[in-house]
Amino acid sequence: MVTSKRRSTTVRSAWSLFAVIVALLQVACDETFVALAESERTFSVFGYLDPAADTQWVRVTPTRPVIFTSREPLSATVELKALGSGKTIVLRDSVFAFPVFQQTGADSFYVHNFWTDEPIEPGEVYEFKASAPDGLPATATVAIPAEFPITVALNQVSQAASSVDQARVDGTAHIAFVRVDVYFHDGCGNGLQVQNFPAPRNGSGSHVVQVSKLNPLAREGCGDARVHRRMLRIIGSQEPWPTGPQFDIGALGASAIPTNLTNGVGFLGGVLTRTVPYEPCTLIGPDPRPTHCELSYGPEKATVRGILTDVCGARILPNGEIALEELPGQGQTHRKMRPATTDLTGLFVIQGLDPGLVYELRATHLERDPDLDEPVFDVYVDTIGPLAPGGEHTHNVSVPRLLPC
Amino acid sequence: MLTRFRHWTLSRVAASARALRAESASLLVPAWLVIAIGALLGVGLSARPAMAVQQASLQGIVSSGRTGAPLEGTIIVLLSGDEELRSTVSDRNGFYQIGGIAPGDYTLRAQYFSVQPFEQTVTLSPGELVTFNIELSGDAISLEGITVTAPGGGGVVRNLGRQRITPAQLRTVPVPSGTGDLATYLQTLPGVVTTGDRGGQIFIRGGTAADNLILIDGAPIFQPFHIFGFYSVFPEDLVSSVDFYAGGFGPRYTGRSSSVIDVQLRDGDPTTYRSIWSGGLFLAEGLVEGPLGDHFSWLVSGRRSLVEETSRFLLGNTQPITFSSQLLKVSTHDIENLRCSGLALRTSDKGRLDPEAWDSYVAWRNLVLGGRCVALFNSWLRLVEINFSYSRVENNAVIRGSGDLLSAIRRLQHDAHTTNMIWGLPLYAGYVIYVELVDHHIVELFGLQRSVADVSGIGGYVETSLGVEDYLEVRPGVALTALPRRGAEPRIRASLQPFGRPSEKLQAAFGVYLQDLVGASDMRDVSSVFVSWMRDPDLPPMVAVQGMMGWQQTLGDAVNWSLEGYYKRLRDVSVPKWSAVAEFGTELTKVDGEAYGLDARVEWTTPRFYGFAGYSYGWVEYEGDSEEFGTWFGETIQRFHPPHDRRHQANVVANLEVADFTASLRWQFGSGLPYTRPLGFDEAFDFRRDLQDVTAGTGTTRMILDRPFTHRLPLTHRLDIAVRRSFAVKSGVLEITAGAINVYDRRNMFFYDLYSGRRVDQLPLMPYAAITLRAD
Repeated sequence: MVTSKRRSTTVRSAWSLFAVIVALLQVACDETFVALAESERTFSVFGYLDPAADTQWVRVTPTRPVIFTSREPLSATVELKALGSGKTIVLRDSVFAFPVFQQTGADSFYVHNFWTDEPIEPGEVYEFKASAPDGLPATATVAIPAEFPITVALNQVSQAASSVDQARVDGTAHIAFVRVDVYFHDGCGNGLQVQNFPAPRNGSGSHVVQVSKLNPLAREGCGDARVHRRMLRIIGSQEPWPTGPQFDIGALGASAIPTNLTNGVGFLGGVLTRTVPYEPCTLIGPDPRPTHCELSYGPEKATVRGILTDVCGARILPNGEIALEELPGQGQTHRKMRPATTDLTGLFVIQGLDPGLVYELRATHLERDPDLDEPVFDVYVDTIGPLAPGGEHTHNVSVPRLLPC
Repeated sequence: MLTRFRHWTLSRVAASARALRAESASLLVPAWLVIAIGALLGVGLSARPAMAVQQASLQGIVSSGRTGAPLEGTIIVLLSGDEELRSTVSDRNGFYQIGGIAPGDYTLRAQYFSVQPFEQTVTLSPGELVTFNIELSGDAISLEGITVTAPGGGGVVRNLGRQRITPAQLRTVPVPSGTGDLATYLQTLPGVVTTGDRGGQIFIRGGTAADNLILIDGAPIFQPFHIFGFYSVFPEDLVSSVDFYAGGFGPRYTGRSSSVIDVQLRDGDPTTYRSIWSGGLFLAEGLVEGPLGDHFSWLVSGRRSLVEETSRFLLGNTQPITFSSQLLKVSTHDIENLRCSGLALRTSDKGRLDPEAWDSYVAWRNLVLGGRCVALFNSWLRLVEINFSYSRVENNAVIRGSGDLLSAIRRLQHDAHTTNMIWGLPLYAGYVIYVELVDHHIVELFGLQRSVADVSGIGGYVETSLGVEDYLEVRPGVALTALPRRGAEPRIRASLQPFGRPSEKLQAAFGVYLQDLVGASDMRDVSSVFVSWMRDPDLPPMVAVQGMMGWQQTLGDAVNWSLEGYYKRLRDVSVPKWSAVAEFGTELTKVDGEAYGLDARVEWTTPRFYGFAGYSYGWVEYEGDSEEFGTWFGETIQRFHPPHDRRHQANVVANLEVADFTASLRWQFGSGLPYTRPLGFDEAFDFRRDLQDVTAGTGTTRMILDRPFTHRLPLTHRLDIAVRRSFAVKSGVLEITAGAINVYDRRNMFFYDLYSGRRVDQLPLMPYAAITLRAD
């Protein structure tokens, strides 16, 4: 039998013991929580170096602990060192402010883009370094491709817009992107559309790129589009260009995200962008004709340009039809005929012409008199050449008329 | 004759085995399991016919003599002289049945807790079915189930995987209001994980919050737990009883894979007008009930939070959380062998889980309309329960002023359940038919995602009970689904008293559980409570194959202990595809998973003390092909612990009656939940498709994350206390409660806002007081 005195003592002892245990738990189990992982990856770097660009821009961001940004200058030194020549370029910080940024709800979002207008040399290897007073510098080695020639081979089997032409590229280890810039005009004025084509994924240094002279998408309410020029952009790189889900910007697992930076995250690429005209070409001559008409663009090639005007009053003629044809008897088995269309300023440009040859230039315009329903213009014919190597020949054309002024 | 019948049944089973094997591949379950359970069903049903013709059966409903409310848990014993022949327990409809009785004279005894036993002599003729309804009365019973003179407030009753929870048990856990609540009580059970004192989500034995089937008088309710984690739509004054299955539930319950919380609300008092009014610093609530004519009663309840208003002067800062609920229930009474009820429930929750995130909030609203009838028949069809319900939940969240997330689910359902006696063997069968509309509308960083899916469902189940005397009961059953996809879910439960004593029981359950409905939430953030309800007919359903086994034992008169282990294999668990870019992902992928654990509990009950201590060990891991996630982890196969994987959890609850006071305390402990540790933020550009001009835009802000869920948040523990005293007043009983949450003011993290670098803690030390008036 338990007396009341023993029972109250037991109860007091139990509560005392419980209080001690609670106190011990409170003290012993108090933890300091560190949310962020420690990392040597102090910088995030994104951008690319391209000798074809007037200014090089590289985004440098410290891997900050919160989402908010600051307009204060970074206490960071960002520089490029050419390993071949030993020249060092220091990039300058430029703070960009964007007025609205949804994720943070803040009014302004600040980013740091470092830049230089010093030339980047083809064939050079640069060491990029972003360093801060604290922590290890983030570095990357960026190789720039050397100059590489491009030969454009126009399909002679089919001249349809979807027919596949080729661009042969040698001298760059990899091709990152293939683009065709399509310059056109319509009822709304001049326009530009960029078309993407698959880049070959091999590191052989010799590439064949498949492209097509696709028509641009018509702009709403602007009528039909007339293409007056195409430019083929080949972007080469010395290293394989990143592809695959592991390079997704949403990739998880910081330690597993691929990057070419040491002590950093992100990507800094090295490219050389070469742009050549993507012009039509037709071979004239006996069968069997070659399957492709090859055009190469180099310093030795010649260019013919001119303005097409109406002989009456010198009215500029857009959408004029131009043909520049190699005259026979100059040693070619098959002669090249180079068509062109004048733009809204009446300008035509034909590049990649072989020097030393004489060409026949024909020009006309398909305008018809609305009352008589007859063509207005006759065909202009003239001889040009021999063209000098690397020469720029200007040949303005006044198109004669079939109908009186 | 018996031999021929059995042979016929087995050959039929064998003949269909080949078909089942071929079929089971599409039915997503092991063929051997379907065959085994089918054989058990067949053998059990076939073993009885000859004997059953000569045997009698006894059935009836046990109810309160005053209110007519069914009394679940009444022990029915059939005695021949002093010898106890058979016994059973009344179910939640108060229904009992005993079959296979040899004709003769017997004594029928009904014992409901400590109420004076009821005894009656019954005479059974060959092949006779006798319906004997029992009404119990007694001063010791408050027949709404609010207070029951069970020892120490009521130990946990477990049978065949089911834990029955009574209002008396809800009262044992301190809640910052005048009455107990199921939400707080569930959190003390081993295997039940929450994210803290807010959010309204519970995770049970490795399952997500969306994997729980919650019923209120047979009607589904999707999000019944309030945003303030102590409360739900189930306060003690409304609850009659709760059947809680942490797993291993029978084929009656389908559509969910983790747990079942089947809540029976009590009816209004058919004889007297009553009211309960409670007000405190956290919550105000009122309940009014009374008769409606001779055969009806009604009950109206309303609750509203006061936290937002009172936290300012209690804590010095406002907790921007608010919730409310309203309930109306009408029930029939005194209609022989028939009980019907209808209910309408509406809830509303809204708040900012991070008080300082002014441009973010989360909200949800439930609407449940239900009607139910339970009828008793004097034929092979014994008890029929018919339900009609309409359930709707609408979720809404605004994230950092930009993301706008909406999700809704609407379900119209009809289900029926029968309890039969076939050749002296209990047979439980039923069906469910539903139409469901699931909708989500997500506007966030990358624009709009919209999806609407409407689904029809048809399914049924059958289950029987095979017993050997009173010490072994085996319940094989199977649930079959025809729509939205064909499926078979065999399940078996068993209870064994190896020493012939009901105080020592070994229980086991094994089965297959399919779930089509997905509740997607942002797994990167465990505190994210927005749930996007989704159905993707192109993706296979989740399959959970789970088994559990446990031992329960009573030592002497005071101590009851139990130990239960479980193991689950999960297949095709739907998880959102991840990204380091902040957006709510509704693009799903499938992973497989594994969960296991051990739950232990000890209860001590004396006339003046009731307490229990529980511990659970849990382990959950998911595994998926990295390519399926749409994001690169650096490994082909990704394994991770999901954010609800709490390894250790413990609870201690104690209630002590001293003089006229009742003191209670609860201490809870939980080890840290997994989270993905970041390195920091930057702005990224995708150079895979083009050279990017870094001057033209900000880039895409991302969080540079480490490998998923490889770190743990800090552990949490908290002590809550309460003291209560009742006073008899002219109009009824006045009860005053005073207490405190988080007595030693521990800083328990709720979540860490990685975007702002701000830590959000759960409630600090928070005193409270409440007054409750129970008036007649």
